[in-house]
Amino acid sequence: MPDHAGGAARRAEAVLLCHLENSTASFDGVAAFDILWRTSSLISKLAAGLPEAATPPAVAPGQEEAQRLSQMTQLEALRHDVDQICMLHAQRHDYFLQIKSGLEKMLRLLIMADGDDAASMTVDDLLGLYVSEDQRQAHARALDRPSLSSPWPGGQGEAGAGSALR
Amino acid sequence: MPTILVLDDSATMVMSLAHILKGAGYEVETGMNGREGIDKLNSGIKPNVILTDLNMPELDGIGFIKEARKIAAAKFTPIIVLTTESGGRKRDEARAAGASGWLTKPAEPNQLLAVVKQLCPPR
Repeated sequence: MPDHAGGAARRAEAVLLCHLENSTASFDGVAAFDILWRTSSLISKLAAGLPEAATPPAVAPGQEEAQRLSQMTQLEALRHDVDQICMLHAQRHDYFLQIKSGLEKMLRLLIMADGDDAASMTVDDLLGLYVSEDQRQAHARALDRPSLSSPWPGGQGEAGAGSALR
Repeated sequence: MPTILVLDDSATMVMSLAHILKGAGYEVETGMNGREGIDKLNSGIKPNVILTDLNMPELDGIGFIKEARKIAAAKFTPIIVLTTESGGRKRDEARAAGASGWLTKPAEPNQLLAVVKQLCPPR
């Protein structure tokens, strides 16, 4: 492998690493989540205050109670939906941050290997960076793809020019 | 009020879990990794249930469970692993370390609360 090809690959990896590290701010969703949680808490308080607040004067007592219960049920359902969206998004957010952290580690290792075969990573080393079964399955699917043996026209596949992956 | 100790390195996850659990009537203590969890237990906090992530810096979930089981106050406390990991090997490791249960992310609030309420009903 010519040195300049390896050097170009290291530079490309360094740039990719920089992009990933810079994307951390875009992943910061704490402010948005905070608004959702405050919304959920406010809905709970509104539901708790309904008995006094939601009594239209022209409504008969039986209807009044039914209306109040219906409004409380709607508010409770809304709070539940907000909590659910919030928790699911928090988990997705966490999952993508973990994937991003794994990619950063992988790029750092590739850069450190710097073309040295003894220090470079094997494809199996990637398994240690995964945080879910989904990622391991994607790894297996990727290795099964026929295109992997020749991803570029006239290329050398996974261990082609400039790759520190063995 | 029963106390739940929540350990996760994601700030949004910790906040989300704390919000859901407080809304259901629990006291919540939090930590960002296993080491902080051990520190909380050593400081005298006696949680009724512990919820922990697996992939955390400093001390991961498995390491935390192993150390927590050596502390008298947490020897028999139910420890639920809440993680993106769904692999059988990791699950076996957690069980061997002393985990009581397992929830795979994404988990829904109702799912989480059902498990926690079963282990420790809110008062």
